[in-house]
Amino acid sequence: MIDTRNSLAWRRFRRNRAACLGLVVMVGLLLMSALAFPFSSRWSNVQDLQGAVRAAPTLRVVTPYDAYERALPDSLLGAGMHRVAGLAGYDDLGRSLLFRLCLGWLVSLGVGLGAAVMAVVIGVSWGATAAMAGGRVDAAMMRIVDILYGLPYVLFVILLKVVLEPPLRTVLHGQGHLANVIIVFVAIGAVSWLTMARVIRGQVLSLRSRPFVEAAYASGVGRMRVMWRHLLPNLVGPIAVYATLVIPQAILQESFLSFLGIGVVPPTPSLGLLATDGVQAVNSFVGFWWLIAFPCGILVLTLLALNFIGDGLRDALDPRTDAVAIF
Amino acid sequence: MSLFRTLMVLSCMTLALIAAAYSIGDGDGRADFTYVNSAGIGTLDPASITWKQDIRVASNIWEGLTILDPRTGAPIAGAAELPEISADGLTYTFSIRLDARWSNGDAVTAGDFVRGWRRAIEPGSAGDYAFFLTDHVVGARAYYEWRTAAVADLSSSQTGSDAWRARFSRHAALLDERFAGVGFRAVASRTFEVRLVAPCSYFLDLCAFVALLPIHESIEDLRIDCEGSGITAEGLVVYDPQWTKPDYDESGYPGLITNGPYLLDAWAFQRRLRMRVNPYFRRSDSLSCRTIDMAVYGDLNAAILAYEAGDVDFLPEMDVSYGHELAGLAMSGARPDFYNPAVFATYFYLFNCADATVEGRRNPFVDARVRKAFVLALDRRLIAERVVGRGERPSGNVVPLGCIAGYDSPRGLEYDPDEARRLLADAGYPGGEGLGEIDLLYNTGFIHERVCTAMAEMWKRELGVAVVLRGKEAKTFSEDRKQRRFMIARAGWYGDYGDPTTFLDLFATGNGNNDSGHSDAKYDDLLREAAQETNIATRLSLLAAAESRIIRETLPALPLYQATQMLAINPRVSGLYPNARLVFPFRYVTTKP
Repeated sequence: MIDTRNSLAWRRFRRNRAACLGLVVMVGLLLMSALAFPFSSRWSNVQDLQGAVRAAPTLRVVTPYDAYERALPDSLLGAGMHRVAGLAGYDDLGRSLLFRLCLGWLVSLGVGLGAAVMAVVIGVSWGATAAMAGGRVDAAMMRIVDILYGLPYVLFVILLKVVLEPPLRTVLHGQGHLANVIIVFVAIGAVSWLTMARVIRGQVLSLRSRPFVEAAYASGVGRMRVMWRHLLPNLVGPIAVYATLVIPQAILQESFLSFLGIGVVPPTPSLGLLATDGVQAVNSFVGFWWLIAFPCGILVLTLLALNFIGDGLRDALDPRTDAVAIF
Repeated sequence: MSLFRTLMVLSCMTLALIAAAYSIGDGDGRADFTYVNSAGIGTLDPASITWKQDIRVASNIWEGLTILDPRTGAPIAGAAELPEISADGLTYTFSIRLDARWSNGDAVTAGDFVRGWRRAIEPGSAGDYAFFLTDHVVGARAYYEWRTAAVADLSSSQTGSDAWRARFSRHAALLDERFAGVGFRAVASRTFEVRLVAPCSYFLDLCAFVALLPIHESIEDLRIDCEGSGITAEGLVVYDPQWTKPDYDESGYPGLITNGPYLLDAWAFQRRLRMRVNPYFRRSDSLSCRTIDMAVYGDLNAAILAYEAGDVDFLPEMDVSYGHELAGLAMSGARPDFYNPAVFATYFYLFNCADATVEGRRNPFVDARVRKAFVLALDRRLIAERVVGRGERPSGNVVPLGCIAGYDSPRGLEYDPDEARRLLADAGYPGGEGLGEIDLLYNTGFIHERVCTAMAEMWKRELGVAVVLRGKEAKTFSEDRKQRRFMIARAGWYGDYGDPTTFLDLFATGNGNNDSGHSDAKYDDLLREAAQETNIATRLSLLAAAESRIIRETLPALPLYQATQMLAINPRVSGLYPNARLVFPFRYVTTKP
C-alpha cells in the first residue's frame, strides 16, 4: 500500500510543472557547487588586492594561477575553475565572487538542511509524544512550546551563542568557523521545531481516534507499535511538506542573522553575508551591480525553487487526494 | 450605499491620521543649517565626553578659555582673553571677557571655571581626560590620588556604620583644605589663575578642550550628596545625570545653561537635537545661523542620499563602504563639495600585551617577538591603498607624520615577511605551529571588517596562523576592549591637542586609555623625562625616542595608516573649513538660501 501511495504521489508531483522546475534548479545548483567544492572551499578567500579589487565580471583571467597555487595541485578541473574565476566578478578584497557564491550557497543550504533535520526529529517526537500521552503531560509539553514561542528570537540566538560557543570551540579544536556554522543551524533548528511539534500533535490527535487505530489497539497492539506502524506513515505527508518549507525559512533566517552580525562569521561566505556585502556596495555614485545581483539572484532562485518543491509535495502527499485516488 | 459611505468615512479618517502623524513629526520647520551625526548623543557632560560627535555639540554650546581656530587649528581667545604667562612659563593668568554671559544672562565668572575644572578631577564626575589636569597642574595629581584612595577606603566599610561615619566625616572635613592645594583658582571674579608643574607648549590647546569647560552654578542644586558634605557616602561627586537636558525642571532646575554661541533648544534622545543662538552671547545678532539641527542617521548611506537630495547641509563623516569612490570624486575634482583632508588621527590595531590567557586560551602576544612578527608580516601599503583607498597615507608610526612642528618622527617598521617568520620561529612558533587560533576583535560596520579580513588572510599566508574574526556591535566592542578580552583589537585615535603626547600617552603605564595593557619602564621613563624637560627641542627628541621604542621594539600597537576623513559641505554653506583637527565651530557658518 505504501508503495502505491509513493508512486501515486510521485506521479502527481511530476504533473506539477513549477515543482519539477524547482527540483531541476535545486539539483543543478547542488551539482554545480558540489563539483566546485574542492576549489571553492580553499579559494573562496584568496585575495588579489593588487589586481582584482572590485573587478567587473569577465571571462579574462585576472588573478594569476600562482595566487591559488598553495591550495591544490594542478589538474584539468582546477585549470578550468581558474579560467572561470572572474565569471561573476570580484569583491572589494579581490576575491572571486563565483567561488564565494558556490561555497556560500552550500553553507546556506547546509544550515537550512540542518535546521530542517532538527525540526523534524525534535518536532515529530515532541508533538507525537504529547498527543499520544494526552492529559497533563500533553498540556505541560505544549505549554513549554508556547513559552519557547514567546521568547524573542534574536535574544534566544544570542543566548545560545554565548552558552554554546566556548565549549564547542574547545571540542572542535582549531575549527572556529565550523563551530560557528553549527551554532547557527542549532539556533535556527531550535526554534523551527516548535511549529512542527504543533502540526504533528494536531495530526496525531485526529488520527488516534480513527477506527483503524482503535482496531489496532483492540487487537492488543502496544502504543509504541501503533505509533511506529500506523501513525507515522500517515504523518509522512505533513512532515515532508513542512520540512521543505523549513529549509527556505532557515536560509532566510541565516541571512537575517548574518546581516545582524550574529550569524555566520566572515570570511566564511553565506548567501546572507554576500548579500550584505552587496548592499554595502550599492550607492548612487558608482554601481558594482554584480556584487548585489548575483547573491540576491541565487537567493531568490533557491527560495523560489524550494517553495515550489514544498508546494508540489503538499499537493502530492495530501491525504485527501490520496483517499480519492485509492478508493 | 451605506457601505460605500462607511468606506469613505473610514478612508478619510485614515488619511487624516496619516496627515496628523506627519504634521506632529518635526513641527518647528527646517533649521538654517542641518548637519548629520551617525549616532545619537552619548553624553553632554563635558567631564565625561570622549566621542567626537559629542565634542562637536558641546564645543558649540559651551566656550572654554580658548577655542581652536578652524583654519589653522591654533588656540585663540575664547571666553577669556589670551592669558598673561609668567616668565618661567608656569603661571597662566586669564581675564574672563567682560561680555562673557551664560544663556540665562548671568556673567561667566572665574568660579564657573573652577567648578568645571574641579569636576574634571573629582572621582565620580571625572572622565577619561582627568589626566589633562593631573599631568600638568600643580597639586592636581596629589588631590586626585588622595580622593581616589579615600573613595576606595569609604566603599570598603559599611555605609552608616561607626567606622564609616568616622572616616567619612574626617574626609569631608578635609575636602576644601586639600582642594586649596590644587593649582587653579579664582583670584578675582573675572581672573582665573593656573599654575603648572612644568612649562607646557600646548597648554592653551588643552584649555580649548571640552573637559575644561566652565559649568554654571545652577547644577549645584542637582548634586547628590550625603548630609550636605558635597560628596556621596562613597566619597564620589555625583550629579543627577539629567542635568544636561534643556527641559529638565526637577526641584526648580532651569534646564541646561551654557555659555557658547548656541544653546540647546530641544533634544530628542537618539533622534535629533536642535540648537539656537544664545541671545546673551557677545554680538549674537551677527551670527548668521540662527538655528542648527543635528539629524541622526544611523545609516550613513541614507545620510548621503539625504545630502544629495538637499535635506542636510553638512556631512562631517562619510564612512561608508564605497568611501574610496567618494574620495576619488573628491580628489579628481568631479565633486568640489566633497573633501578628504588628512586628519590628526591614526588607524591602528592593539595587541593585548598584559594577559597570559584570554577567555581561557593562551595569549601569545605577551611575547614582544610575536607582536613584532605580526607587524612585519603585514603589507600596510596594500591595505591603505587597495582595501581602504581614500587617500590614506600608510604609516608605521603612532603619531601622524608631519603634523607637529619640530617633531622629527622616527621610522616605523617596514614590511618584511622573512624577518617575521624568523621572529615567530624564535618565539617558539615555527610556521605558526602552536599558536592556536588568534582572535581579532573589531566593531562591525564601516570598513573594519574588510580590513580585518584582509589582515587575517595576510597573516595566514605569511605566517601560517589561523585568525578568527570577532565582529561585535560598538558598545560590546568597547566594553570588551576596555576589559582586555581580546588578543588583537581594532583601535584608532584622534589627537586631542597638538602634541605627540596625545598619542604616546595611550601606551603609558596606568593611562586610562591604555587598552593594550602595555607597560614598559624605559618608555615610561622617557615620557616622564620629556614631561620635566623645559627645552622644547630636547623634549620633542625625547618623545621621538619614546615613539621609536613602541613602534620598533615593544610594539603594543600595529599602526596601519594616517586617517583621512571624507566630508561633504553643501556649496550654499560657507564658513566651514575642512581641517586636520576636524573642528567645526558653527559660529562662522553662513548659508545662502
